[in-house]
Amino acid sequence: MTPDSDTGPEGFDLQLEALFDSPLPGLESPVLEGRILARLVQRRRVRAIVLGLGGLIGVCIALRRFLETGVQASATRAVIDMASGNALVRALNGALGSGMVGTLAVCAGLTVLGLALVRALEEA
Amino acid sequence: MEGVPDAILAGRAAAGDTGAFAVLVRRSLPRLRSFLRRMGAPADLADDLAQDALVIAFERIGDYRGEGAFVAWVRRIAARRYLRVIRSRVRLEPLDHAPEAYSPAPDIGQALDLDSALERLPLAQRLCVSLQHGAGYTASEIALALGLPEGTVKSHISRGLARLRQDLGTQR
Repeated sequence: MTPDSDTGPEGFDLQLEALFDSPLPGLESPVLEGRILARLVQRRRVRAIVLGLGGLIGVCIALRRFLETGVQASATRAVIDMASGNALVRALNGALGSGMVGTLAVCAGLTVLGLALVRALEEA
Repeated sequence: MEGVPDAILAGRAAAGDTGAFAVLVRRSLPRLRSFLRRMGAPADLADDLAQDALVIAFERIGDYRGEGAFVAWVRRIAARRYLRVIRSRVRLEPLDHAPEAYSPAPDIGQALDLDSALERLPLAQRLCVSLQHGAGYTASEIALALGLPEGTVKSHISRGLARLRQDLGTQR
């Protein structure tokens, strides 16, 4: 292999790969291992909390819109639609008064909130 | 779980099994710390970077395809982190203008061990040799990572290896 070759390293004779693959003596550290695992758990918790808060905010915004714009108009329709198979979707759709986008926003918020709760429970 | 291959453990870790990842951490941490120290990182920095690299590895565990050892994959992550530190602290000069930090072994007749010989290399040579032989970088990848011309990187590697041979007394 030539020094200019980019297909593989020169210097196999020095067995540098073996050197880099071998640990220096005395570098085992259960304390450091524990610290890394603690950081992983902590990051998961933080992520779960952030996701949960995001979901909660989404639900709050959707609920506010629901109360401001659609509650009166939707009430009767929702009750009527309860009898049909997809009553919840229709009720939300009508309640928001802004079509499917609003409905999807609420559903997404609820989903994220649920996922976050599941994660938090797993970590507990 | 100690005898389970890295790829299997990584798959379990990807599914959220921190116990499986703990085994990977136990397997790789001493070698990762050693690699960073051999690259030239002080002990404290090496420990911090090893921690960071393993946390990042857990976050991106889905990217590890099981081709080669887990520690080899994490070494690349650790190397990138260390290079970021290096680039923020040190300006690596082109070879022709680099200060000559190398001095021959104190006793010409005395061969050094490989670790000691590596430690004696000037920073740029040590980095280039470590990245190529320890992290599996190609010369072009090293050039990109260090912001040096590829020819300069190749020269650092050649001169570094020549000096290692000289210090080891293994002229071949």
